[in-house]
Amino acid sequence: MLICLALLDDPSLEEEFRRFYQQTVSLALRTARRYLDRSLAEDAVQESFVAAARHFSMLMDRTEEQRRCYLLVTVRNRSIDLLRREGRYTGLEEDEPLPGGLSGEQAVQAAAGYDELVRVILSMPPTYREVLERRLVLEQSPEETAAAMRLTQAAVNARFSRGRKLLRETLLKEGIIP
Amino acid sequence: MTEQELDLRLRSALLQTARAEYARPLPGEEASPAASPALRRRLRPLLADPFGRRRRLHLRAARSAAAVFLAAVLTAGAVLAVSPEARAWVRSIFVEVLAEYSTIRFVRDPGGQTGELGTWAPAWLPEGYALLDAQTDPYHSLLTYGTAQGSQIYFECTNSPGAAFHVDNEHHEAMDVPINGCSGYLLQAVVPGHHSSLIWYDQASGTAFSLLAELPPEDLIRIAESVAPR
Repeated sequence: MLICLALLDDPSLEEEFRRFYQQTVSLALRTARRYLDRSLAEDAVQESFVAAARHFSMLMDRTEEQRRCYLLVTVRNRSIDLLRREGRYTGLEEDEPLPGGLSGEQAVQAAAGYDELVRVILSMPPTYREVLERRLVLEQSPEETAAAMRLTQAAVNARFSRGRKLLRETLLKEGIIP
Repeated sequence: MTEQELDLRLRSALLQTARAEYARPLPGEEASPAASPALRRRLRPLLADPFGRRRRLHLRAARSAAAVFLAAVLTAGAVLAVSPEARAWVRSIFVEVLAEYSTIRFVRDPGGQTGELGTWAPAWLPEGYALLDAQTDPYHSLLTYGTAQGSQIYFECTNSPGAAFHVDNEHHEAMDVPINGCSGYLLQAVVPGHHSSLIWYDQASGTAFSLLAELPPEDLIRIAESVAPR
């Protein structure tokens, strides 16, 4: 904690954060607009940058590209939070694609050039992916994930376990892990 | 492969997936949308002090501000006990008080319909102010007024469900002020160089309003009271 505070007291890190903001704000807005109207999309973007600032010392040991992708995952999940808060997420919990997500065909196109794992993630039920993103990328606890998704912890753990199993099987099938 | 190694690999795959899905604009999508003036204004405190370094240096001042804010909340609590209007206001809003700013979110009746916002504007402004910019969509409007000397007034209104205003709370004194019979909330700047905010909610039309300017409270209130549909 002391190390983190010392890092955050470094003015050059503030400059780095401002640069990160300038480079990613358009991308963040475009991502949020796939889910939300302009006003709510800006709320999602603001809250995502607040969250990114909170975790910025942790993000410093990642590449610029990884930081950018971290922000995209944050914006996506914050947008879903706002959809839930508005009651517009009902009926999309298991198999239906998200309003802003890609269709199956688009997903295959988007995944072109990437490995099978990306294809599986793009085609898995939205809540499995959301649980995996919250737990593994945003590093939320099971309690935080359950509260954000309005699920029980048991349901979160079950989806995490199933999603992880599905991806592990893909890695095995592709020969990426023995 | 250990469980930890597996999780690291899955994390990389999830990040790569996000890039695959969002890095390129979809057909018909604006490639590089710009942050609106309202968003830039809201993010200004974060960009000025992203990690709270200056805030930590001024911790004592921040604690004083928090004490003032708490006093205002307690005063509001006393009002709640006797005022049905104030109780309705509290049912309609959700205030999240963070260290640097407060988020005031408006919650509409879940069964209520959201119609077009209409065109709202102040009929009175202090001398020298003229309309500089207007950004409107069916559920949100932001009008910016300015003077030749560079002073600005931001007037924002929305009837979007779940809409929120974000206001700085570190350099302000909070108080309740009625605006044409509607409950309102004034954050008056107590430090030179900071804007004051006035936020109010018209339950009849389901519209939330915000004024932001470096003006005395009596001017803000007068502008607010002159706001009407055009």
